[in-house]
Amino acid sequence: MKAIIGKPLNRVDGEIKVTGRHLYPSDMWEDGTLLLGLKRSVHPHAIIKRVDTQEASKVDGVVRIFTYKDISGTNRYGVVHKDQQVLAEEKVRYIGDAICLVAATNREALKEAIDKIKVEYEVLPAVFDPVEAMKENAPKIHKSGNILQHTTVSYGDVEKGFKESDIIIEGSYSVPFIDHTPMETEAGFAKMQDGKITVWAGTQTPFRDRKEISKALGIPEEKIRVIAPFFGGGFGRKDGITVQIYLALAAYILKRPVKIYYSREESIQTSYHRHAAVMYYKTGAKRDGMLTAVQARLIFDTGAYASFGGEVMSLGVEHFAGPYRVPNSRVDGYAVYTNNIIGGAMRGFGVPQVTFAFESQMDKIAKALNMDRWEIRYKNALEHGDKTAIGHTLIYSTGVKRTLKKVRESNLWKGKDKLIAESTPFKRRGWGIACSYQGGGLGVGIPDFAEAKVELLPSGRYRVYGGISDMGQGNTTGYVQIASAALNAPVEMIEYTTPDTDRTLDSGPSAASRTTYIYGKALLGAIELLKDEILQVAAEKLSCPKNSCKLIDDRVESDKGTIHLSEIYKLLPEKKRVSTFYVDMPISKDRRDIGSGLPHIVYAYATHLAVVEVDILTGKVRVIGYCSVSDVGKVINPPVFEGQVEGAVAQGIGAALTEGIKLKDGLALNNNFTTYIVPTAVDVPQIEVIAVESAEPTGPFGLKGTGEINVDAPPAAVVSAIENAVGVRVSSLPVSPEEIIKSIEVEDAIP
Amino acid sequence: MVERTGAIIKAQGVGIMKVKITVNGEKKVFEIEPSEKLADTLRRYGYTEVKIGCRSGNCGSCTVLLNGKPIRSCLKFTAQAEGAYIETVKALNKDGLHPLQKAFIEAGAVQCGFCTPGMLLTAKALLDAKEKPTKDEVKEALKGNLCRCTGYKQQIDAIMKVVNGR
Repeated sequence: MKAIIGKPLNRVDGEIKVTGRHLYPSDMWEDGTLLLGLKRSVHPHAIIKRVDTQEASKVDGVVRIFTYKDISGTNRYGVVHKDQQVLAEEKVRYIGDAICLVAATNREALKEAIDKIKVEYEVLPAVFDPVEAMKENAPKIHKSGNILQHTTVSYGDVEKGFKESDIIIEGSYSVPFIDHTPMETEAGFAKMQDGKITVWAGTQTPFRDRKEISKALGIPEEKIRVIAPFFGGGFGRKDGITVQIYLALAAYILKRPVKIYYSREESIQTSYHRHAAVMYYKTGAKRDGMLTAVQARLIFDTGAYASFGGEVMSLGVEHFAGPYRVPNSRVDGYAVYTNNIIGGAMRGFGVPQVTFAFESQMDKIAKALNMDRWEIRYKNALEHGDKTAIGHTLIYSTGVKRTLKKVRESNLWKGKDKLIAESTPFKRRGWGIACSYQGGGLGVGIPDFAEAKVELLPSGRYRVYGGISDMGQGNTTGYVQIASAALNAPVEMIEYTTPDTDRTLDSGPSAASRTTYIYGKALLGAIELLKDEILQVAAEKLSCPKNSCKLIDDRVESDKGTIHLSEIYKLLPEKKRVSTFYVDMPISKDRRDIGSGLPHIVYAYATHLAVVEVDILTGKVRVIGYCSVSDVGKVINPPVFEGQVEGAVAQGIGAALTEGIKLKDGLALNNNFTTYIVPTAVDVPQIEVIAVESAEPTGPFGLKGTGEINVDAPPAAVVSAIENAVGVRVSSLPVSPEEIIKSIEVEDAIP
Repeated sequence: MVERTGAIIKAQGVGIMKVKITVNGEKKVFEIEPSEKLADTLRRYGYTEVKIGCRSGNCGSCTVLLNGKPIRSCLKFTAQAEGAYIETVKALNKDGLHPLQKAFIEAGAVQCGFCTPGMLLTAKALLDAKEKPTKDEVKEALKGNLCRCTGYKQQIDAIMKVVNGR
């Protein structure tokens, strides 16, 4: 049955989704359900002088308007820093801070009541530029000051490294806030059930949500249940509190079913985003292309609240100089509060920002030294046993060189020259390359564990209790596949559940490329224990040694006979029909002194190749060829892997060419799909997807993690290709056609 | 849990009108306010397979077939659909999975699946109108249905597999 690993397996949730039968969090409803909505701040920074709900309360259909006074807990939440208020008390810090929660019987009443709530503000000076916000005299957004976190790492002797170099390249880069735009926005349903507040939500973190709800509302955890059905996309956006506490509060106080579903505009303005960042780099290299020193200053704009600001920036710090050997380095990372929209977790988690910057630096060095862009990367690429740029040792599978070698065997590599030569008038084509690596798991200092649970059912079938949310990435299918292999049983014999704090065990967030790796590992442990119990009972019943018994499909076989698993079920004491197993994520042995959330030790690697076409009359860029080679360890389900790669690359192409929230004094100007442009079916090229499967010794069946690695490199690869095509080096994303045309003209003007 | 009879519309019933629409072959009478959009009416009456992703006609999640043509049900007033035949994705699998549904599963075209009902209906309309659309025509048809999980390849492959099997 191990043969199932590495083979295509249809997703277990495929049929309920193609038939429209699956109920997403936004679909849930019962008779008598009230709709919830929020009165939000219209100012980016202001003191709340007065809130008047009188007029609003009179609107027909309005059932209740809540303010912070209705909350008996801390009224605070936040993953690391509890700096967000469920409902604002005295101050608002961005456009969108929630002030009142309204419950109504219908949409129109809800809207009318929200409009009729009057809030008097005393407007405060605001700051929208993180560099400005770091200055002494900048408006203070939180009492603790505007610098949320400063993470600094030194390795080797950076001054010596620059002295030894033959060439020094400096550059500054900027990237905007990016929106995940999961197709289903933040949504959920809640009601009182069996005396518990029961919340169904699109959430990557049901167990953490339960803690957050408990503290914020002052209700014991055992009175709260959070359920995460399959939901409509997350990509990090639903890693933390969005709608969960509002649902719990209203259901608890009103004792009625309640529902909330953000509009796209509300979602873009008020949810978490990929952090905007400005990054300054100085890189030294020898004439032969070997890196001698890298220094960087990274400033991440976390907006009004911390969310994962410090941790995302720390991942930027960890990965700041790419998957290369850098003997001397110094990096200063800052996560800074502003009155902008909130930065938080998004697929890649700080790595896409620095990958864009540092890969651009690599290209510049190659150009200055007249070296091939592939060659400079290969020369510097990390190998097993090397130390990274922050000085910790890579002790597990390290496949970046393999991805670099493999990319040269791709069809796109072999065909790129021909493809480029086929360009038509007023179009220029070029190719670009970029590498990246991405740590899996939560990093040093953050509890990172999974506890799997598997059960033998009366029919002789099994049930795998999925402990980590499935937002679409397919980890649930992965669990069934792993269980099928380990239990030597067809997938049809394996039932699954999605996370439910009352039924499954806390296994941490659906995040950090960890879901299949860590839960799969725990699941293998739990299955071994269950198998052992099954074989023990079978051996006793059949009067034969345990090691002569074999688990095959729905039965145990031995020379002495066969026994069906439904029989085993009856023979097993109740407690032994269920087994659980706990595992911790491996962590780095060195450089544990830097801070929290870094470094990692299990890494995925990638090399990307892009071919673009630039229209020199309009500046418009089209990606016409793309190849991703990644090392994610063993691929257990090729179509799921392919889907993860293609989706990540599509998001990366979006980040390169069209995506980025345009902010004016903290307000998102492009807050729907008319103006926030994500790639469509005609924008994403054919993507050649290649895996190099370095066997990861710590992973279940040798797998690492696939979720994030392929979102990091696309902007750098596209920008590299643009320069190759028209000689213009873009240092600010998304690529602006106007900038390209301007630069082409300038360059042409220079003799 | 979703069987819903209760109305989201105003309790006092000002301006309520009745609209007759055939949904997936069943004749229905919907009580609506004149301003209600078709996506909301359908979802209110339990057709939650009609998804809402933007309410501005951009994402295509709310796509249904109206007299066989794909439309954005978040933009259409329910009242405009009086007498129409509406198909949601559930119309496809009345007698077992439709070849497109099967192909979507087998190609790995479903991730979070939120865009899937709309995409399937767009694809069905294309295949109803054209025996052998080209890959470019499939792409062109799909460009109004946004997906954030995939790079669209697996959906395109799935549809082409059905086309090539014709």
